[in-house]
Amino acid sequence: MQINRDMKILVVDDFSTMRRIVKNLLKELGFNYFDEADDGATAWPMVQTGKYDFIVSDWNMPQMTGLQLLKNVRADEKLKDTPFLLITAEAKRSQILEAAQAGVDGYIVKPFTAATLNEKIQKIFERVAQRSQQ
Amino acid sequence: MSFVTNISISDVQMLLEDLEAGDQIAAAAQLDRITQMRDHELYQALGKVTANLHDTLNTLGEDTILLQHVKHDLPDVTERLQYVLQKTEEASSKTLAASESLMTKLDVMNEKVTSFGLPEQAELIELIDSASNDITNIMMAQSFQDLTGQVLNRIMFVMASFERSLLDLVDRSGHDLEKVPARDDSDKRSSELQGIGPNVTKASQVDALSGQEDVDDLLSQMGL
Repeated sequence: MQINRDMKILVVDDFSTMRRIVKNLLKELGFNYFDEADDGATAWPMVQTGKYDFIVSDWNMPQMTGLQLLKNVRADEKLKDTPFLLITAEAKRSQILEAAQAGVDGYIVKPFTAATLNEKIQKIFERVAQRSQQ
Repeated sequence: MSFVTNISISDVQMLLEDLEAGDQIAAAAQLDRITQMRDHELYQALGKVTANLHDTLNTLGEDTILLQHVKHDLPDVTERLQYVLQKTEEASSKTLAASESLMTKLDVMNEKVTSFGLPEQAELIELIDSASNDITNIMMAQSFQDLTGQVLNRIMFVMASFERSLLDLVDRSGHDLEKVPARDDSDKRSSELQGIGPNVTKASQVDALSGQEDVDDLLSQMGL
């Protein structure tokens, strides 16, 4: 499936190292447009501008968690269909169920590999394409 | 607290008089009186300090934060630091292995470029040199592991001795850590919602999935 490599991606993580790694991996996968936020709280106003096609977020951040950011996105009529990928160290069964119920599109546990990221992104956008055909 | 002022001049005068009169027995008795009085006050003061400490320890109910920390958090600290130590070491050695492998490959490239005698030889060798410089920088940056590792080891040592002292204190105060209740589920749920980070301790691995495959299985059961 052909994924639009020019989509605008927002990378949210409180650790700059992880933002850099995610950005570099996405670049390797052919994506070109990224913005960064260091917390859910800084990400949320950016997301509200409506310019992002894809959000990649950590869960555990000091001000607003990635889970809360996801809930905010899903609760907003204009933004609710934005594909949302969590990349996180949170790995409790209950947490993953929580994220699924909140409407996450993909869930990657850290530490992760470039191959996993590629696979999840493929899967997410296949599903998005199916959804838009329906 | 000072006890010196409590020796009165009259007591000392009596001692001097006994000595001047050559009455060694009376002088010794007077000297004993003076020191006994001091000892008595010293014991009283010590008694007060002990009583204070005892009161403080008694106010430690079984649900106080201190006891909760001693029971639930302290034993984890060393385990968590150990995880940091292990992960940074793994990352450093992976980086070093990759750097070494890159260095070898650059050496081969260098040889080939030279032996092929390409027209761009000088330019290519310059690029290879520059890349090799970058790799040296990457390798040197890994030396942080030695420094942070030493600091972490030191902290773990201090924490272990701190934990022993606290356990001893709790024990002496007559509290039983076994009776300190487990954290309740609402605490657990709210911290899970906030995010708890990697499940590095044995205790936290309950209900944790072991990796991406398990997560994928669970999510596919949910239709994701």
